[in-house]
Amino acid sequence: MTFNRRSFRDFRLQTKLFITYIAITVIPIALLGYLAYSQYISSIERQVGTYIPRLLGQANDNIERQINEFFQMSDQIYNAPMIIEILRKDAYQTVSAMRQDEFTVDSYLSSTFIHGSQQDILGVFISSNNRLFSSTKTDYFSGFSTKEAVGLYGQNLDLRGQEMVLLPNETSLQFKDHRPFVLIAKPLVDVENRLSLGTMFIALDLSFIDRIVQPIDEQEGAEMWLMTEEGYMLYHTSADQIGRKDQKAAKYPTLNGSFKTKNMLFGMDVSKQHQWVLAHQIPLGQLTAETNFVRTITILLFIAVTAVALIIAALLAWGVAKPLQHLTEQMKRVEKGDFNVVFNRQSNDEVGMLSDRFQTMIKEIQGLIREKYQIELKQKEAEMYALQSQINPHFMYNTLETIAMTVEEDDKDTVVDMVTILGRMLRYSLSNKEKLVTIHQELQHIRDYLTIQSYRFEDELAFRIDVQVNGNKEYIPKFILQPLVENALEHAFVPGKQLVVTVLIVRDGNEIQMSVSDNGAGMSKIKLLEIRQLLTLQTDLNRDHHFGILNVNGRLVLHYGKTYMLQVDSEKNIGTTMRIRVPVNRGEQGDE
Amino acid sequence: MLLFVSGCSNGDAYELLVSSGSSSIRQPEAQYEHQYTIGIISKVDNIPYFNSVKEGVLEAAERLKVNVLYEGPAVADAKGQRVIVEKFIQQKVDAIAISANDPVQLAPILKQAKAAGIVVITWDSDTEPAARNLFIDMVNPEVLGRHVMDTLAWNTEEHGSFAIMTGSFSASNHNAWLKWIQAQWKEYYPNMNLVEVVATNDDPHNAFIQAQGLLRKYPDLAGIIGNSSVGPPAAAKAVEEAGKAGDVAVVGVSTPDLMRDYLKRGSAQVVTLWSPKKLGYLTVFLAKSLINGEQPGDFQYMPGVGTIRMRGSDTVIMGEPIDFTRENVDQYDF
Repeated sequence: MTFNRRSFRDFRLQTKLFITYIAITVIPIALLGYLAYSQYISSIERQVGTYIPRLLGQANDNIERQINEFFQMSDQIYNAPMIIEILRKDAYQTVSAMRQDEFTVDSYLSSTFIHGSQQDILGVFISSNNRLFSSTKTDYFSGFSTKEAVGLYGQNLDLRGQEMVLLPNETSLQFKDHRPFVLIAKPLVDVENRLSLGTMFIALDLSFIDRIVQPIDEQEGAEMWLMTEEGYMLYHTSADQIGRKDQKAAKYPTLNGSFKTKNMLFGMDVSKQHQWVLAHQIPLGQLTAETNFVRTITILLFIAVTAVALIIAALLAWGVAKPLQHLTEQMKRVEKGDFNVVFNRQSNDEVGMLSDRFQTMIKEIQGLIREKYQIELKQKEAEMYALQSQINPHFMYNTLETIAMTVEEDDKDTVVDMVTILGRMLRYSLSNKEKLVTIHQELQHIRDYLTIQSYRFEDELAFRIDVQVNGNKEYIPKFILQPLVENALEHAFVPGKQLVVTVLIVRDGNEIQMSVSDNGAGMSKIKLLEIRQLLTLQTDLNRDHHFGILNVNGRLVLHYGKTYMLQVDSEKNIGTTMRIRVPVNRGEQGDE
Repeated sequence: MLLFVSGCSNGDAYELLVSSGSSSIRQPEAQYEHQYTIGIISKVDNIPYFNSVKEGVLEAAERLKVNVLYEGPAVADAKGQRVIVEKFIQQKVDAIAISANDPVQLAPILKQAKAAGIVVITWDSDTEPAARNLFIDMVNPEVLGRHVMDTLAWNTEEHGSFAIMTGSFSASNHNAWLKWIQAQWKEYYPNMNLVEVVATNDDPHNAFIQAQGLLRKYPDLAGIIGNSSVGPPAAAKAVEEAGKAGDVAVVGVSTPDLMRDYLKRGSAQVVTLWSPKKLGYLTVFLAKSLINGEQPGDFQYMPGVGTIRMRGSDTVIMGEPIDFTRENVDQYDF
């Protein structure tokens, strides 16, 4: 876990899940496997390290017992009174007498020891009172002579009555075929006379050690050797090592137990009597050879399990992360304003629930937005309607003035007409309840308005209303045409020229097209562009300036959408035409 | 892990797995050992047999590193020995080994020594079993007694009268041998006739006089058995002086040194004995073992002695008797 937490936190969920899964499955399994294996290996080593010294101890005991048996075997000589009698002599009068004794003893040694049941005896020597008796299996040299030394010790060898084991490096005795041997030396004592009879030496072939250690040394690669505490190897399973010195002897941490190096396991035991070290070494690999097969199988299994685990981890991580990713993408779309997102829910887990909740939330938001939008729309419409429904005070003032002048002229009929029309107009505008009215009603109102204006302007104003639809069936928003007419009267008058206002209502498919045109002053192109821009931008309503048409346009757009906006066409000095469209019968539904 | 770490720096690193004890089990040699004192009492001072014993005792003392006091009374009797035992008790010896002149008379003082914590051994001649821890017998008395009778029979052709010169009538070993000599005589040799048993009291001079007396008293005597070491030389000497060498067979229990000349001259035929040196050595060896609390066992191998036998739990038999003849007497120097 070398990566720092910070960066881990920043990883993608998929990666995190993957890493976590690996961390809690593969790593523990790997650790467990490693620990189990190393524990097993070290327990094998401990077991071997325990039983090898035990076996060595037994072998060592057997070797010493065997040597003691050889010592005891030499006691046989006490049972041969004839030999003892010869050994008791110390002077001869004739050479032949001595030779005869030598012959007797040599034959005895040969028949008793060399040709006896003991095959391990290479030779037997007795040095006694300046005589040497011997019998050997093979030739030997540089060892004993009657006149000179017996081995290195010679005549003066003082065993102090002790039995001794001499190693080849402690004697000068050597056999012709360089056969390894040990020499056991036993003082011969005349127990009756309490005198020394001499020393008996028995040279032993090391094959008896072979026989003892062979059962331990069955494993391939194992080596065994017997050495003194100083490291002189008197026996070794590989014969060429015999007689050499174990250079590492001083470094061994124990001579009674076991220890190991990187690739060798050593077991040692020190014998009780002679302090000989029986050592055993075996390559560690040899011990664990059988386990290695199991280890290989385990590793293969581990790899397989890991692969499966990785696939499962990837699938799991993907399974968690994919819906979330999908969710994220959908959220992005929502963020950009597209509420028409689809969640294909895949599961009933937390991610699925999250998707569900999100979808519900989106719908809720969508609903709220729509609701709020509609409320605003209605508010605006209401506001505009309210504004529009008011009778222009200028119009009232001018009308009243006209009435006053007419009264002055005493034209009673006209006055009555005008007051009646005005009354009707006031009622129409006060009856605010219906937002949609029939074309007929709206046209009546326009006609009233134009009639009153006609009284005022007399010949300067003419108007024409052409309705090509059924005015009683089709509905249009209230006060939708009046502002346009009002606008024409306000801007289109050209002094000295009669203004003709034409209102045309036709049906075009599913739409009702209405136009208010005049033959008045018209607009410059710049002005027209300005107007169109105002209509498109739908800027704040300004009561004074183009209030009427903007209001109409606003209401149309609110009610029917942008495509139903007010169209203005105008040419300077020719006139202006304003067109509006409304869908057929839409009013009945929109009226609610 | 340790192996790995150290293994990196040094390929020869050893990791200890199992160790029983230190790498060297050799014990320091110079171990302090209390030197025991062992008091050895012979039947009588200054006769060759007991001098040979003394040689073995001194050899053992040196070899086994013990302190020995070797004493014997001037006259072979219980009284003299009791004085020596008392002295040893006062000296607080660790063990007393005695060749008892009288099994009954010496018992109280030996029991007293035992009570004082001293190991009491009898050798050569026993006391009451209760008075000692161990008895070291040289040979089986039955084997010796019967064998001595046989050697006489061979040399008299199983005919004629014979006399026995025993050491003393109180010494248990002499009595035991005497018993078995007579048993063998009665069992196998009806043509022989035991005329008299005399005691020499282990005094060479007295023995010689006794022998002369026997020769005078029984002119047709065919043989004399000397039942203690002083008997056969005295008999042989008397036979020689009477000019009857070869006519009167002399056999018995005696040492080669005492008998060498008589054997060679033919005035004695066979003497039977064991190695008194070995006996001395074994006595000291066993005394030390007992002080150390080690009991001997049947067929046990004793270094420098050989295999011993046990009869009962408290009697050691050192070995087999040796016959000394004109031919082999030169091999032995005791």
